Amino acid sequence: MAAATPREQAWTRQVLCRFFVSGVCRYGDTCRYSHDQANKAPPVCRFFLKNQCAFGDKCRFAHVSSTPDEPRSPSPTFQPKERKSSLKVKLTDLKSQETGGRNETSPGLSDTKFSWSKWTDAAEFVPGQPYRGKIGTEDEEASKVDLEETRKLLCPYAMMGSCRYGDRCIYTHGLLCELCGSYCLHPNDPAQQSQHMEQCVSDHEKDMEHSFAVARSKDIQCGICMEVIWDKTPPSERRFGILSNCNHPFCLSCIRKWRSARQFEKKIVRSCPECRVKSDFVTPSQYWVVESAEKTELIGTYKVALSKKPCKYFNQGKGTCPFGGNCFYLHAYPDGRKEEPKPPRKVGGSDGRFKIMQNYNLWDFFEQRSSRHMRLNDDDELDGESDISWADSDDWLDELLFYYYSGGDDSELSDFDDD
Amino acid sequence: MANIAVARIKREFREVVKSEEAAKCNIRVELIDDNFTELRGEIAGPPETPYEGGKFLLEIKIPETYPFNPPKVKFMTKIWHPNISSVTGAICLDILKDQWAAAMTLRTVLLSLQALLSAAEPDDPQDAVVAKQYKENRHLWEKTARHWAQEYAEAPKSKKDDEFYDKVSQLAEMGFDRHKALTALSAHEWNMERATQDLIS
Repeated sequence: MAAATPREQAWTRQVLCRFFVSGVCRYGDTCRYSHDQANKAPPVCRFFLKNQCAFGDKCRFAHVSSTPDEPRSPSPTFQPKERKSSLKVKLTDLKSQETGGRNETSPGLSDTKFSWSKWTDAAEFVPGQPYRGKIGTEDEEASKVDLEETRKLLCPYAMMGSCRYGDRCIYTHGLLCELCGSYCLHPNDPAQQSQHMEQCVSDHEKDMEHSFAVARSKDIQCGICMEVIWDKTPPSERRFGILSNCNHPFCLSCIRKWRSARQFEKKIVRSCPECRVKSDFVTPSQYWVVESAEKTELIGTYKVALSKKPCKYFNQGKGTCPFGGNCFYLHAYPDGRKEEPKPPRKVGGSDGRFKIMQNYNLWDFFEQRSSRHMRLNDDDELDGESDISWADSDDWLDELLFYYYSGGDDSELSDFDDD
Repeated sequence: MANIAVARIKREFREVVKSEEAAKCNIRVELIDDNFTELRGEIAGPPETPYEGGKFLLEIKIPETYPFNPPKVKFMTKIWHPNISSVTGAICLDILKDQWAAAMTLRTVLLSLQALLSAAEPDDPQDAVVAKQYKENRHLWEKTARHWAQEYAEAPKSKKDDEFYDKVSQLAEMGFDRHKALTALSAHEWNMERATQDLIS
């Protein structure tokens, strides 16, 4: 909704703020409604009218009986049939529309001039107060322009299939779109029609894709827990973990748990539990994705999404991330500058795994001491998995310390030099 | 026990019961307790092996962390095999150790064990004595393994194996425990003298 025009503001300023009256208006001077009670008598206490006011003389509202020319209904509900001409009510006039012509006015409205375009601007009805109709006059020209504009708009009721005013509706009734089944094609606007058709066709294609995805995903079982993934409870568990290099289905939580298992070699847990093909990362997905184009797109989207999230290990340059510039997460300094990507250094650990060595400056000492057990290797053991934990780095330190304190006995390690 | 472990074992139990292999009486599992933490497995000795016709019982313990860790399996039936301890029944099989994969099931484990019986890996032994015999005197190993299967796994007996029975019986008559006598004879190429010495020492 656009901001209130000065014209709109003008009329709201004339309506007394009901929150101010109760002493609880939080807008203060900036309130769109009037906070001026000087020229308006305080509203009559409706409990007093029913002889039920508990505050007696201390009541903030006026304890006066209604004047004869301003009869009040003791109940706050609005009763149109009891309208008096003195009430200056300008109703929305749905009633007059119901009963036929626009010139026919109900007896209570004889002194008001009806305008089709004004009903949306009708003043607010405040319970317990006389209905304050809109005060002030409007430019006739403006109302004519408004009316023309209104006529061009599509009727939202007709769009959904039923407008109670039928041919007499002031809005345009659209033509039926056979794709979406609603009356939303503007009869006099070919551009709108073709735009809508395009939208409908693309929506339809999306629906088809979605239903194929659903059909493909609904009976898929996880290879680890062996449950149908979409039948798992709680519903948050119903997510696939897509492996990049093979097409075996697992639920996200199971495959992540398997890949973070510490009791096996990295080579084992990074491999698919079904076919042992190694995948470097797992992509979460709501649907089961097999087709390679779709899979590439999914992985691409996932990487883009991750690259916008700041890396908690890099921590805006304050921390260190072992993956360096190859990390899937965002490595940006507070000024927005991005870290230069450089390949992380890797060494073969005593257990045959390859560890990433970059930025472990403090450990250089240990590295030197144990360097003869290690060798550089070009194999890529990069893993950008989002839930990776660095507990592993501690294992690595432990190993080094162990060899350091045990006098660097390399009998156990010698076979790594010649394989 | 973790939910996932119980749910999976129940499922796998049904899988084994309904499997083709179970229909051919090659593999079988039964429950020991209601918690699905312990099961009893049974595999048939594969044809054209010394174990043919035998029934080998297995103790299967399901860890809390199953299927992220392998089940603990060992032979309850005594067996003469390079990769299975003739004393404890402990199995040396990579998939039950560091090569486990979470997608493996009771059925695949039992079938792997059956395959192990037909294809021993003497270079990665569990029982060094058996492995040595397997590599150095394959014929004697086969006869010994067959004899063990007949003695402990109800494999059918044939006439030509009588020689080994006689030797075991002789030692048993001397007051030695029958199983100890068989183990000593097997370990010493069925040489009565060396087996007796071993039993006395």
